[in-house]
Parts: sequence; C-alpha cells; structure tokens
Amino acid sequence: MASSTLASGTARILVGEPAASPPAAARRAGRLPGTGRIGLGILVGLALMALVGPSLTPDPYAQNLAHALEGSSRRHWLGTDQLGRDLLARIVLGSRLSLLIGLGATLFGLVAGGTIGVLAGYLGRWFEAVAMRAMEGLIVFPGILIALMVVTVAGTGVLNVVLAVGLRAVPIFARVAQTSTRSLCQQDFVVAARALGAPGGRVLARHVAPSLVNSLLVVASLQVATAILIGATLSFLGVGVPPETPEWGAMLNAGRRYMLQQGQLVVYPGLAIMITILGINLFGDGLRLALDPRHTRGTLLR
Amino acid sequence: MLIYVLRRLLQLLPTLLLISAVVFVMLRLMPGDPAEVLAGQEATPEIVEEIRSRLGLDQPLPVQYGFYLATLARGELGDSIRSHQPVVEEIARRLPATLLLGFTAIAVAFALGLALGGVAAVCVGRWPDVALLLLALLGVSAPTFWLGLLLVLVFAVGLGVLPVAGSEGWVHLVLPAATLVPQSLAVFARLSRSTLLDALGEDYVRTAVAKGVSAGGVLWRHALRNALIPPVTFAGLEFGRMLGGIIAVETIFAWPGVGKALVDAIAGRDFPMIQGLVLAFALLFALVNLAVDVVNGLIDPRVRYG
Repeated sequence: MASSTLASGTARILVGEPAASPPAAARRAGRLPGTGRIGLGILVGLALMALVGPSLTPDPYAQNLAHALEGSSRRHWLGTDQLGRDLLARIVLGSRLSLLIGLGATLFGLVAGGTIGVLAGYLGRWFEAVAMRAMEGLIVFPGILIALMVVTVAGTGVLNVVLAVGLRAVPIFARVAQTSTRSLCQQDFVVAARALGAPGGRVLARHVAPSLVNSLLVVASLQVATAILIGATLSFLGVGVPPETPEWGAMLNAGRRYMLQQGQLVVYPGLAIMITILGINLFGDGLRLALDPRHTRGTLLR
Repeated sequence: MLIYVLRRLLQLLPTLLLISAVVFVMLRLMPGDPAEVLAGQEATPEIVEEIRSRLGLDQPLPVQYGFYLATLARGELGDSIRSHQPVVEEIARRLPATLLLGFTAIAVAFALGLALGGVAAVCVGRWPDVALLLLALLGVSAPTFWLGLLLVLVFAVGLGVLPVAGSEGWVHLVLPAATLVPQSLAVFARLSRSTLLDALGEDYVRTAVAKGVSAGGVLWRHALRNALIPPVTFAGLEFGRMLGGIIAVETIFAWPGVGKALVDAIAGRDFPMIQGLVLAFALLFALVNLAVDVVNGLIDPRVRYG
C-alpha cells in the first residue's frame, strides 16, 4: 500500500498527493512492499498446496453415493459433492490445473507476443506494419471472445484452454515489447553495439532483451490473474476443461445444479479462485513497485 | 464536433475490416470444408454447393475474402442450424436483453464508482479511503460468475426475496445486474480516486483555492471535469471485460440474451450462429468505444482537436 504517501488533513486534499521524491522511489525499488509480500505469501502457499496438497488429502476421485452432498464433517472438512467425492481434495487438486492454465497461457502469450513485438520493434518496415496490424486485429476483440473463438476452432480440453487464454495475451505482450524495443534501439548503447558491427541476433539477445525483462515481467505477473479468470470462466461455461475434471470453474459449473441441496459446492471453489487472484494481484502490484522505479505508486492500491 | 464524430466514424472502417478478417481466418481454420461447416450436418449436397459458390470457395484466398466481405455487407449470415431461423433475426431478437443488462450494470458501476472514488479522494488516508481500497481489492479479485452464484444462494434460495431466472419486469434485472456491478465498480472507484487526487494536485486547483472558491466548488467545477476522462475511456474497455461476465451471468440466470446464445451455439457447434454472434459482439465493442471517444470529446475539447 502506498502508505507513505497517504496522509490525512484537509490541506493535503486540495494540494493532492505529493509525488514521491526520486531518492525515495529509488530506495523503494528492488524491495517488495508489504502488500506485495502478503501476495507472495499467498502464492507460495498455493504452490505448496498444488505440489504436496494432493498427497495429504483423500482421493479426489473416490465416489461414495451414500454420502453425496453432505455438509462439513470431520471426515470431509468441506463436505462432499453430488457423487460423494471430497470437496476439499478436489479443490486442492484443482489448484494444479488453475496454476497450470494461468502460468501456461501467460508463458505462451509472453513468448509469442514478446518475440513478435521485439522483432517488430527491431526490424521495423513492412514486418512491423504487418505484425502490429495483426495484433490490432486481435485487440479489437474482447479477450473472452478470442478465447471462445479458439475453443470453437480447436475444441475443448486443457491444452486448448491454455492456447485460447494465451492467444488473448499475445497482442498485449507484443505491444509492450514493440514500444520498448523501439525506444531501446535508439539508445546509445544499442546504437553503439550495432555500429561496432555486432550481428542483429547478438544485439537483440545481449543488449535489447535484458532491458525488456522487467517491463514484460510486470505485465506477465498481472496477466496470470486474468488468464486464470478467463480459463475458469471457459470451464464454468462448459467449453473449457472436460466437465468431470477437478478444476475450480468446472466444479462451480457442476455444483450449480446441486446448490439448492448443498450450497458449499458453489462457495469454496470460487473462494479458491478469489484468493489466488488476490495473491497474484498483490504480488504483481508489488513487483511493479519494486522493479520499475518510475512507478512510485502501484495501480492496485493507489 | 460533428467533424470529430465523422472522423471517428471513418476510423471505424479499418476496425471493421480487421474484425471481418479475423473471423474469416477463424472460418478457414475450422476443421473441414467451410461450406459444409456453415451448411451444417443435415444439409443436402445442393445447399453445400450453393454456399460454396456464394462464398466463392473455389477461388484463391484474397478473392474468397472479397466474396466474404460482400456477403457480410449484404447482411447474409445464413440460418441457425439448430433453430433454422435466420441468424440476423435470432441476434436482433436477443440483443436488447443483453444491452439492457450490460448498460444498466455499467451505468450503476460508473455512477457509484465515481461517487465512492470521490469520497475516498476527499478522505485520503482516513478510514473510508482504506476501507474502499480493501473492498476494491476484493471486488477485482472475485470472479463474476461466482458472485452470481453467491447472490442466488443468499437472495433467491436463502431469503427467497428475488427471482432467480427469467426476464419479465425489473425485479428480474436486479440479481443479474448486481452480479456484474462489483468488479467494474471496484475498477471505476480506484481509477476515479487516483485521477481526482491527480487533478486536485494541479495548479489551477491551487489557484481556485487561493481565489477563495469553496471546497465543493473546486471539486465539482474544476477537478471533476478533468478527472472524468480516464474513467470514461475505461468504461469502453470495461465493457469488453464485462462481456465474459455477461455471458456467464446470462447462463446462470437464464437471461435470454446473446451471451447465452453464444455459449449454446458453441456447445451445439452451430457455426452460422457463432459467426454472427462473434461479429455482433466485436461490432458492439467497437461501437461502444466509439461512443466513449465521442463522450470524451464532449467533456474535453482538447480531445476533439488532438
């Protein structure tokens, strides 16, 4: 939280928040602010849950129709679903898929979009014109629509969800990479490297790419949240992962039909999504503050 | 102003071309022969042949795209495979419900967000501000479709005060709209808080204060007008983001709009419907952003000549 810039008093209202002075901003750079650390904590917890959680919980696929749609008990902490499967175990296992979809889709968007953007910014001319036009073609569609078009063409399934959600992020990364590359290419150290006769690939890999990492990383961290959200939306709509998969969106979709008998079915999987996204947002916002000294305030808590 | 609007309308053309190009690519990427895909499984060979010649599918790709544009310009989107009704009519019948839901939610979120953002900006650092930040943080993190389920659980199942499904009368609008509001509300509140704080830090505000203008006058007359542009611009983008929520909400509450129709069409592989709905959504998104630009031009003359 931008607590150091928060000060009360009516005088401050009318003059507004003072911008942090450059030394203060520089001091803050490289260090994760408090809320960012909370976010990191949530994410570490989630990663642990995804890694070792499934070995601690009961079998998430074990059906027991005699104990279907039960409430919380000592045997089933969060109750059971319509087939008598342990809800907690399914939520814990579901963290794997949600994180996989979120990270996989973002990685796809980062690599594809980053490559297109860097090449466009570096090569310029017709390649830049064509590539960025194609990116605009994607950006004129709302993200969910792109994802729905991909599952229409490619069909449902985990891999296609990753692809569908990732494609939406490609133009976002491409734009960031392209504008940064273009301004980098005009800076002295890149011009000097080119003048010294360094081959194009070497200039890109050694001089341009390292300077891009920070800005792309900040975008990527927040994109993971959107990716998880859209992935869960697809599964909730029944066009994402196969219906019986322990994935949070799919679980909410299945639980919807039994919510009159057992409300917990539609409460906890959504809570898991919310905590995950909260953690990513807090962490991503902290990362922006820490990596990019130009931003003295995060966007999330400003 | 009129010239500005006309110029923005002209800029819509390349956007429309891009949209049609992407949908054309989507159709070409579909597994199988596009003519058979568009005709549906029950179609006779004659119908498939007719579609093939109408779309010019035996011609080279650029020519095909030309044919495709021509059919779009004539508004020929074919018949729905499932209902056998013309796609254009199906969409026209369902669109008003979706627009009612979407615009109600955006309007409520915008107005409330601006008010709350204003309160937070005036109380910066004190408890209303901090409380709003925390609520906004939760708001942007909660998936819309989950909020919808929770609202059904509490109001329709638990308390039994509001109807769960249907679309007759305003009571049916309450829960679906209330589901869509929080996420956008959080975005608008945060954004208007920060833009108001920025505007309050400007020199002209200090001048106004020095002149002896009352705090309310400064806020209302000087700061708000300038602070309004980013939230208005964002309203257009927010509409696109809300679309995912609208589709889910229409599914949860059986709201008879185009969002639910799209999900049904994808599940039933009703390709003419999918094509028509994707075009409709993209066009709607483009038009909303055009409207946003025009409104920004009204608020701020600089935008018009920029």
